[in-house]
Amino acid sequence: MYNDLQDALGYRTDQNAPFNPVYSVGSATTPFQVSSLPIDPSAPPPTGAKLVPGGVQPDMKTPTLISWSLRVQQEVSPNTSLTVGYVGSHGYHELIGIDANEPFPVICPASPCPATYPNVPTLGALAGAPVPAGAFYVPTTTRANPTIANTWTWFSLGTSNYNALQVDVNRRFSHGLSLRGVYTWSKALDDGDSLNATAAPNAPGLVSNPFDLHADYGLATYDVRHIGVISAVYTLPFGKGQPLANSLEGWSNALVSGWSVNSIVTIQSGFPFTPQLSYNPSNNGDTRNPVRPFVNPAFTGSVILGKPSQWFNPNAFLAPPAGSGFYGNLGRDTLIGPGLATWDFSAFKTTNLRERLALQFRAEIFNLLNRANFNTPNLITFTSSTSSTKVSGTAGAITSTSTTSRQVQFGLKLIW
Amino acid sequence: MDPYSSDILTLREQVFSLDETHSFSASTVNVARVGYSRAGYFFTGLPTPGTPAATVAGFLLGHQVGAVVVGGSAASNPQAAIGLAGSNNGSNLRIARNLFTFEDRVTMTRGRHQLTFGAWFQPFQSNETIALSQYGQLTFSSLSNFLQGSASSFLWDPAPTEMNWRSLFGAWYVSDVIRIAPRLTLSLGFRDEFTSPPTMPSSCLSRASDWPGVRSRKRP
Repeated sequence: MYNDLQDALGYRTDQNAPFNPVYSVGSATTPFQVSSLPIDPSAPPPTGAKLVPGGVQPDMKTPTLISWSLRVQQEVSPNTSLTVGYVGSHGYHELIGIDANEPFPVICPASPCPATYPNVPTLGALAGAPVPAGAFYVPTTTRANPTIANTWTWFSLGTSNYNALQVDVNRRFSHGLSLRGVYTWSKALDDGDSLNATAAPNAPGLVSNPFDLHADYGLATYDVRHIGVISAVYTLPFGKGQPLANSLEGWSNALVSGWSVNSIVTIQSGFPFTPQLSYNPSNNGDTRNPVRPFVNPAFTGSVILGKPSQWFNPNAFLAPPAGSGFYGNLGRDTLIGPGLATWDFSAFKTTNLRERLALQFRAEIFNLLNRANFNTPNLITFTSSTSSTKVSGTAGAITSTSTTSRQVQFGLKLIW
Repeated sequence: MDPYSSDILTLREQVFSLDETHSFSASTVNVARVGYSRAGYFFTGLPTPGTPAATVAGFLLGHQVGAVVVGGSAASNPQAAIGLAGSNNGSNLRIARNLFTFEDRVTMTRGRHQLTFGAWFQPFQSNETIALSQYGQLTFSSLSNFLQGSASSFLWDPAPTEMNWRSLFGAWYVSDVIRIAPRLTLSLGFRDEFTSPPTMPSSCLSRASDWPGVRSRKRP
């Protein structure tokens, strides 16, 4: 129903005057001094403070998804089936986050776009290089509506495309063994899906350049190229009624019968992510910093280093100078983060106490191999102070894992 | 992990439903259902009690200290080069939601047809305080700016307000499953859903019928 859509709208529209006005003070050129704190919230906002409106597109459309699929299932043995399928979808009118109060840019070489990029050392091979035709340049920091701050507005302008090959091998329970393996090879593309930074921290929640939405079309933040899962349940063949040790009686039978082991192995490739800047060089005033760096044309070698201390090489990128008015030309979600592999294992022992009463002992181990599955690296590649722009010391550093370390738990379950 | 800040999350859910199935005849069955669901959500980030952070003065008079971002953006839960002090600027967030469900469905079998029709209504109440930046957020573009106390932005909500949304969801539907041949059935159906414009009875906003983009009706 509309509940989900309304919830989303409520979240975005709640952050508005007169009920929940949010104010912003300070900018890259006129910093806010911490010595001015604390602020009395019951007093009028200080000079220079501006409202930060939230909201949605006035004529928003209902997000729509058209999907199609084709599956073929074949019996490969009396207990085993093979399913191969294709799934595709196309979404439109999807919600994307836009700062709707930015200064108007020009498209180079229109005036006043400079003929060349700034000739500064931090721009490396692009220093003094000609600005390509079609690049966007923001000549002023004056917003379209200078009386309010930047906005976070949802527009139903997003599109998405998804294509997947799915393979499913399923062996139904037979001779104590049930086995299933599924694999998906897929690609998901869109021009924005992280409606806020909480939803998908691997990319900014806002469009980089609201006047060039197509520049953000790339891998979706939830795109996973490969994912395979194998699950198995095996009842050990010991005890009465089983092929082995079936002549045992009493305690010895109770001890060896009723055992089963279970496994789930998951292997998947990493999520895409977007290197970011800690500042906004484009003059567009968006304080959420969705602008990306330049691709360094002089860089050779592998961008992905694959080390937890530095997952990607920041030298592959160049920092647009603060206040230069330019957007970087790196695509959205162009790098791939660490993959994931985990093996969960469990053993169950079920002992029948009476005809309709059984006791089950469970030993469960999550992440059996204690593999460190690393999270998305730190995306902030460049920082800027009032005097300089430099590579962040934590660019590409991974500081967390996406799964827990090995967890072991035991349980007793009474079944009747 | 930042030992000086803590997150507290509380979730609660209660569900009650009652079904009554009545057979009018061998070919006509009526199912009536009433339901009630109540969900509660609370999240806050706060300086860890017992640590020096708990005594730091707030950014806003009368409030605890807010969030600090060094080398990142002014978004909530942003990426940051150095790190975050405080998990994010979404603190003291509360939602209490009630859903009342009423549904009646009739299924009739006539020859090769199985006809189903019914209606579904769900009054919706959401009492929520989800204003961000209640304690303020300072954002610094670099470590040196942080050390100099020069923030690129300070965000705050001076007067968070509880919102009391009310709305009515509804639907009516009809479908027919036709057994055309022993191994072939045809299903035809229509479902119409609507959402009333949200209102807020406890405030001056009595009717949010001009909520931008809210389509009050759809036919999937």
